[in-house]
Amino acid sequence: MRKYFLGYILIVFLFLNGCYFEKNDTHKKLINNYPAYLGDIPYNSALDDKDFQLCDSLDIIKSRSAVSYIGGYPKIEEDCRRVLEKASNNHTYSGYVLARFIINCKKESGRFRIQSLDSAFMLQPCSDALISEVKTTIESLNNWVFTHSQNQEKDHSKYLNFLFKNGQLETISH
Amino acid sequence: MKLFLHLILTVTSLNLIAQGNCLIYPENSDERKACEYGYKAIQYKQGSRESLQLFDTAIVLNPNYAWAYYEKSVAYFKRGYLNEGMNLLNKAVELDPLSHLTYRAYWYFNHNSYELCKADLERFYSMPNAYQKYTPGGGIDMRVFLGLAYSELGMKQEAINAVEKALRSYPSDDFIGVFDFHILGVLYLKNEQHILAERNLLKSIDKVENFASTYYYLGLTADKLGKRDEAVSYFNKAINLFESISLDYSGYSGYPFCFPVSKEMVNDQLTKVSL
Repeated sequence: MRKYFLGYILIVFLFLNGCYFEKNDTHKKLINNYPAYLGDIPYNSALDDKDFQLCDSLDIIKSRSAVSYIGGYPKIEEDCRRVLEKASNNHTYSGYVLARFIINCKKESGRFRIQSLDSAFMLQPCSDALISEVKTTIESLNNWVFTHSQNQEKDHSKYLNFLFKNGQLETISH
Repeated sequence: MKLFLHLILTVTSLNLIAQGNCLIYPENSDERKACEYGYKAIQYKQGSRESLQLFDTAIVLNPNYAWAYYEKSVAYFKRGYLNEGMNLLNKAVELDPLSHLTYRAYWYFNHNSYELCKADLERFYSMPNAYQKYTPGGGIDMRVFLGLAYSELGMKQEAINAVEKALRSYPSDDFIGVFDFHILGVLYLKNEQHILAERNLLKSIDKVENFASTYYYLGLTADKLGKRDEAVSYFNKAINLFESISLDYSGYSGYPFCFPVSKEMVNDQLTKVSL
């Protein structure tokens, strides 16, 4: 009787394991190529400047409040407006130019990932010239502040969303 | 007491879009498994590979699992992946508009897409089972938020009506949000109803006395009412508060949605009034 009982336990155990592995398989089949953390922006030789170095690519700070600017956000907009006006190309674009990028520990910006979006945040075309102007504009910002004292030597990820109307900068959100 | 009520309301509204109990799904069903994967996902750090992969599994097991799309979208929005986040959130809204329309409206507002924000909130409040909801974090009643969207679209009277209607619906003043009187006061100021603007801004100071922005708008109102000395004193009070409160380099005082004010704006007005 005892023997049967042990056999029963063994069978139940194997079944349960079977179920467990079956469940895990559904999960394993789906492994997607995510970075360790969303916002990491891994190096891509086709897009990125190899001279732009991070202090520690495994510890990039992603918090929105961790990065600010001397003079605050109104100053970012003011500085960007000045640079964009100087470029003075006749753009007619309406919509967002959204830039995600990394500010490294030396407070330089790089690894830009830029998309152009409509008011519903769906992808829409935009001229390469305007996208490159936005990138140059962000690169020219040199008063970044890391707001948390423990993060001063770390790399930060950041995004700025430029809203254009008929080629003119309306506002920048972040 | 007020804080307590706020907390209760916030927690209740958060729970309403929480994931729910997995036991409501039949045992061994894909819905139950998906729900369990969802629970596992939120045990990992938001935006981590593990968390995103577990959400994906939950969605494959139950493609109609609105909450999983919503919860995954949060990580994308916060890190600036607006297109990816919106594709996920649109799916959540399609499956369960009642639970997720207001969150979509919130992100539209954050990026100045006010027409779409307005459309989502109007759609939400036209639903027969619409319930009381707040901005994420619990700062502002979504009906007041709709008022802010109207204001950004230049619909001044609709903005005032929306906020007044929300405030009237509360059983007592204890339910009134921290920024509600401030918002209403500014809306009246924008609509050039200066007496009502002053009344509401003063009520706001009764509630939050250290909100620099309120003094700035009180200064503008006093100036419009021809009370120049009062205006100067309000602007000075605002500047003192700007200097005494750590602004964390944001450059603004107070809550980001309530008509942000910077110290430079106050200084400009002070110079103008003093001329």
